[in-house]
Amino acid sequence: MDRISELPKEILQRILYFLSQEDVVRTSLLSKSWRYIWCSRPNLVFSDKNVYFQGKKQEFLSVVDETLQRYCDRRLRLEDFHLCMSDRDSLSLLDKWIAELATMGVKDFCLHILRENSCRVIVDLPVVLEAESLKVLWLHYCDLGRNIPENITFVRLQLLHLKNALIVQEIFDKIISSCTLITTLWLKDCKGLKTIKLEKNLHKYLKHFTFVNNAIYRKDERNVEIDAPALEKVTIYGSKVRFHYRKLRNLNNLVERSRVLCIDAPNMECFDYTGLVVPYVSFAPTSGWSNIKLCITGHDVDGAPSWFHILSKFIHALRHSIICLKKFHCSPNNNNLHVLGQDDDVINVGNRHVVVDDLTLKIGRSSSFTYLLNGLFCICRPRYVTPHWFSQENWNKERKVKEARDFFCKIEKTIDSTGNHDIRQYLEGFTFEGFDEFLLDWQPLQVATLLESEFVEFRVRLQWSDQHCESSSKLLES
Amino acid sequence: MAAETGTPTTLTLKSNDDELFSVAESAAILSVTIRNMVEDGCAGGVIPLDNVDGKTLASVITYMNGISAIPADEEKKKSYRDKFLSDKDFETLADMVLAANYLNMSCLMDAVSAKIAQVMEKKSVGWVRRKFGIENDYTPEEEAAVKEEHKWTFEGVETDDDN
Repeated sequence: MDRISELPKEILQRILYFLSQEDVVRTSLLSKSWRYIWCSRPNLVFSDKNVYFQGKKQEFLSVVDETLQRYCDRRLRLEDFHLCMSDRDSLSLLDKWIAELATMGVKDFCLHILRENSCRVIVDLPVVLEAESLKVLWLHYCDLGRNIPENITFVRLQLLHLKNALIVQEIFDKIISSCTLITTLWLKDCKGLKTIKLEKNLHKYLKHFTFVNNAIYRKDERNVEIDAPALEKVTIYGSKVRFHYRKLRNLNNLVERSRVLCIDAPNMECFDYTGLVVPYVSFAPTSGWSNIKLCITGHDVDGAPSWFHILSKFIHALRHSIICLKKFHCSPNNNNLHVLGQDDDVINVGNRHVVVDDLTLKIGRSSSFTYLLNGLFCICRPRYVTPHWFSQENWNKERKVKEARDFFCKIEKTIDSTGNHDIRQYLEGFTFEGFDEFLLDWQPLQVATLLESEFVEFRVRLQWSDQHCESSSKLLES
Repeated sequence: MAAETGTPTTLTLKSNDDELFSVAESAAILSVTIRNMVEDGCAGGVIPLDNVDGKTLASVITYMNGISAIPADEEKKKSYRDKFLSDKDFETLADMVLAANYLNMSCLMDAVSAKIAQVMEKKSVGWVRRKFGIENDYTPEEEAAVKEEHKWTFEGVETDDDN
C-alpha cells in the first residue's frame, strides 16, 4: 500500500481535520480504504461559497442539516462546527442547529454571516447564549438579541471572537463575568458595547486581548479597564477609545488628558499598539517584541515636550523587549514640534536612552521631520531608521529613488547641523542601506549611484557609542 | 531541574537505529512523551525512542531547538514552522507526523498534518491519487456510485489533467 493510506487512522483524521467539508468528503473516492475515514472526523466546516451551491441555497442547507443529523443520530463526537453563509432566511434552521450543537457538547463554534451587497446583515442569535459546552465562540455579523437571559454560563469559554456583532452591554457583562477561564478576547467593531472591564480576580487566565474599533462607530467613546495579571499580548486599535485603569488615576497629573490608556499586566510579553495617544503602562515586557504605531496629530503635539516626556516614559517601560516604533504624521502641520531640541533632560526625565530596534517614520509633507528626529534622538537610540511614504505603492522607481535621496539628505542634514549635543557626542556613524531583492539582504549604498541600483527599500543604520544605555541589544544578539 | 541549578540540563536521546543526540531538556520537553519520562526520573541515562529513526529525530530536534528559542509570540512561531516545513517532501512529512504522534508534540503534529492536508486542498481525486501514489481499487460502477452520492463536492476543483 502507499505511504499515506498506511498511516494510522487517528493521524489521517488529524490531517483531514484541516480540510473544508467538500475537500474531506471527496477523499471517499480515493480508494476503498478511504471510503469512510472522513465520516467521523470531529469537526465540520461548511461554506456556501462553494461554486456548486451558487443558486442552490436549499441544497446547501440540506447537506448541512443531513450531515449534522447523521452526527446526532450516530452519536459521533463533534467538537468544532464552522459555518459560513450568506443566507439570512434560514434562521429557523440556525436556531435548530445551534440547539443541537449545544446538546452535542460542541466546543468550538464559528459562525460567519457574509454581507450581501455590502448592506449589513445581522442575524439574531440569542440561542447561542445557551451553549454551555463552548470553549471557543466566533461570531461575525450576528446579533445576540435584546432579551437578557437570567444566566449565561459560559463556564468553559476560552476564546471569544466577535466581529461586527451587535451585543447589548448587559449581555456582554454577563458573558464576561461568567467566563473565568477565558484566555483570548478578540473584539472588532462591536456595536452596543460601551464598557469592557477585565478584572484581576475574574480573568486571571486572560493572555490575549484585542480591541479594534474602526471608523464606523468612531463617535462612540469606549471605556476599557484592563487589570489582568496573565496578559501576554495586547492589540489595540481605535482612535476614540477611552481607556483607563483606576489605580493609576492619580499617579501623574498628565493623565488628565482627554484620551488616556493605562494598562496593567505584569506578565506582558508582546505588546502591539496602534493609536493616537501614548499609553501609560505599568508593565515591563521582559522578552519578545513591542510593536508600537503612533499617529501624531496636531492635537497631540500641542505640548510637544510633555508629549515626548510621556513617550520617553512609555518606551522606557518597554526597554527589555525589542521595540519597533512607527510614527505617522496625521496632521499636515506639526509646527508645534519646533519647541524641541533644547533641553534633553526635560524630555528624557533622566532615563537612560532606550534602544529601539527599528524606527519607521512615515514621511508626509511635514516640515517638522528634523525636529521630530532630534526629539526622538533625545529619548531613544534607534538602530535603524526606515522611511515610509504615503502612497509609495503606486510610485515608479524614479520617484522612489528621488524620495529616498531626499530622505537620506534630510538625515544627513539633521545629523550635521544638529544643536543636539547627544547626537554630536554619541552618534559614531551612520550607513545608508538598501534591500537587495536577489540577495534578500540589506546592502550599503551610495546616494550618488542610487538610480543604477536595484534597491526597492531603504533604511539608515546608526551606530551609537553609549552602549551603557539600558537596552535589548543582548536579546537581539542572542 | 534546569531552573533550579541555573545550568541547562541536557538529555541524550537514542533513535531506533542507535544514533545518539543531545538536546537541552527545556527544548526536549516539548514532547509530552519525553516530559513524562523526565518526570518519572528516566532522564539520567539515555532516553530510547523506539519508533523514531535517526534522520527523523535529527529533524525533530532541529525543530525543538528552533521553536523553543522563540519567545511566546504565536505569529513568529507559526512563521518558523512554515519555514521549517517548507522544503520537506511527503516522505519526510509522513515520517515526521508519525514521530510527532509518538512523541506527543501537538504543535508539530498539527503543523505537519496541516501541511499534508494543504496538498489535497481543492484538488481533484485523480490528482491526489497520483500525488500520493494511491491505487484506485474501486470498480468503475462503484466509483460512479460514490461520486453520485457526493456530487456537490466535485465543483471548483482542479481537473484530473493537471499534474
